[in-house]
Amino acid sequence: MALVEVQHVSKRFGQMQAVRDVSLEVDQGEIFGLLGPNGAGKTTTIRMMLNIFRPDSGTIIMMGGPMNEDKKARIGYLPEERGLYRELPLLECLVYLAQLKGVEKAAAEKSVRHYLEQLDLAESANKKVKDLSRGMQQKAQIIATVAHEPELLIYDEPFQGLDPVNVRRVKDLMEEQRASGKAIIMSTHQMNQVEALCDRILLVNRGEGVLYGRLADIQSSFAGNAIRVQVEGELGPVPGVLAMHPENGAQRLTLDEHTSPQAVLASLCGRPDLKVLGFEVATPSLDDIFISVVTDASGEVPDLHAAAQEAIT
Amino acid sequence: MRLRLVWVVLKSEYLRRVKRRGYLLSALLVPLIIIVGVAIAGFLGASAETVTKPIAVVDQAGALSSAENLPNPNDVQFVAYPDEEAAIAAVNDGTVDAAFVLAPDYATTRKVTAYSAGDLQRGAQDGFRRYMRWNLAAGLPEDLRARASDEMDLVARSLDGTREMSESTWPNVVIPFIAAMLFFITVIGSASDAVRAVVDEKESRTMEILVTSISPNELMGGKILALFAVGMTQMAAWGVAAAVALIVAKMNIPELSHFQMNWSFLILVLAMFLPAYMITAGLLAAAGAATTELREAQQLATFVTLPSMLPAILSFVILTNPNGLASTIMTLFPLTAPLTVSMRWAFTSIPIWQLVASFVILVASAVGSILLAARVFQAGMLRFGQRLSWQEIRQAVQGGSR
Repeated sequence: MALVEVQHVSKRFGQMQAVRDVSLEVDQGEIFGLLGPNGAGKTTTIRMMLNIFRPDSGTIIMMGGPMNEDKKARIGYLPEERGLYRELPLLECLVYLAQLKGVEKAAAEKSVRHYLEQLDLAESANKKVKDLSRGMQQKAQIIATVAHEPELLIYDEPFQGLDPVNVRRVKDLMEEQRASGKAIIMSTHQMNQVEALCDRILLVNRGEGVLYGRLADIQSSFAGNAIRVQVEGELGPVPGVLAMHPENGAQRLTLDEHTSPQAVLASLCGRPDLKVLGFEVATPSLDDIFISVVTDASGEVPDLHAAAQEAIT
Repeated sequence: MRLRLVWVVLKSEYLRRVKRRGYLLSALLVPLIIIVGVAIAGFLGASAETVTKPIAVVDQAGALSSAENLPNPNDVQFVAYPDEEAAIAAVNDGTVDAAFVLAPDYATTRKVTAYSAGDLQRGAQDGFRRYMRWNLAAGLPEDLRARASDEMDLVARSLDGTREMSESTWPNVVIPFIAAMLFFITVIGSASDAVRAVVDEKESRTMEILVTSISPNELMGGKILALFAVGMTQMAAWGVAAAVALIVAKMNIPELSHFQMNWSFLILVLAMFLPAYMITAGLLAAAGAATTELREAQQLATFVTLPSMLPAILSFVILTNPNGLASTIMTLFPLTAPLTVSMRWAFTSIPIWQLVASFVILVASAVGSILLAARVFQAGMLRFGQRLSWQEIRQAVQGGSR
């Protein structure tokens, strides 16, 4: 049974239709990507799951039934609007937030200390939150999300404000959580950050779901029959290749329908005048897929980084 | 409602506030200053009031046949002087503290002239009055002389006998009244913090984490009780200080020596102020939830705190006509009830139906106010940029839209 079931949910704020007929399911042990540009309705969808907003229509089933107060303790939520008690020492602040999730004080402190260690914040445990750097506060916020060991984790823009080292740390943490059977919903507009991480995705645009399913299936359905090769030497005509054009220092080859990537690789490796430096099936990036889906639908290219205000705020 | 979570919020909010330097200063330093101040004032007052030297009496009228001192050795001692000049000289050289000169026509005019180096002390005046009565009553039996020389203790009592106020027990009325005023100010002060408590969560953006952890009722319940506990801690500290100060003062200020705490009045005040606090805190928390900036919320809060202060502003109306229409209305209106009842209690006997009705209305309003706060809070908790419109508040109160 799915941990989260969202069925045909819609929400309107005044004149603005924030979410229109969105459906999705999230299972245990998977990382689910709720992806789309700013203002697409991701945060509103999450807030409806958490019963902060009521949907105008549609049904949401959380952990087998409607959301209620007792289920709050089984969910960890990293809101897009970050905030901690700035005047409190970090440890005290995080222990308090874990206690609000129903954890006993001693257990809360043990868990918080463990995660402070894991995210390299142990030395700042007794510093006031306001004295921490933005990146440190961001990591602290992630600890507030996970310290009570919830079954379902919802991260809204988890990598905002993190440097590459800390992005890696947080991704490792998420993979650990997935391995231990937890369900993770990750909402972000930085689609390139999460393609390697997500098992399944829902791509939303202007409040509507535009693509839903296993990431690998979606990517392969958009891949076409193309490969990307990097060679030393003159490539020249290759049997079974319909078109060839340069792409980021390599060549993108479009194959005819009877030719497999393996056949091309074998033929290239067999040529003494060439040295193959790189070879891959050309998988389209999520950004590319999003652009192609949205362009197909509307005939115009969307501005991925438009600073649209998310729903209500 | 999960009480354990209410307790977690209460404890954390309470400790966070109590540990602030400003709070420690006002809760501990102010009482200390009160105690030291009263002790010093008491000491200075006592030393100023004590008549240590004898006092000269010149009887130009021959009114005092015996001119003997009162039998109590602690009373002021009087020494007869032959004439005015000798008495004035004695004052000048410090042999006596003061001199009282009965005019030759005292029998008809009752004229007495007093001389002293500085201000004429009250102790000397009172002592002289007792001395005069004692001696004017010479020849009467001893117990009659004593009665005549003592001051009477005038007691003003209400017709139904429920209240009384005497010259020696006026502190019994005034001190609880001052306590009620202080209590009221503390309650309004802590309730006003409810605005800050809600706006703080909004400004620090912790609101979304909180409402996905516990229910708005648990959160608001914990916060409002914590603020009340903070206010009460301060009151307790001040109460202890006031008690110590009273004990010190009782030893030195004669008017306070008969002071007895009016416990039934204090219990009444406590019983009325608890629901009053809940009303104020609830309405102010709603103001905090509906707005996005502290300043704006505080402006809204004035609509709540100002009516609460109305009885103090209109005190002359209550004091001149404690059973009039205005006093009755203010007794029944929940925001003005506690202070009005405290003021009327001292000066009149409030009809029992008014007390009961006032208390019932207070408690009902307190429940209503907390429910209202929770609903407005739910509607406005995630508003960061824009305040709730009156229409949205109305919708929230009617059915709750999110």
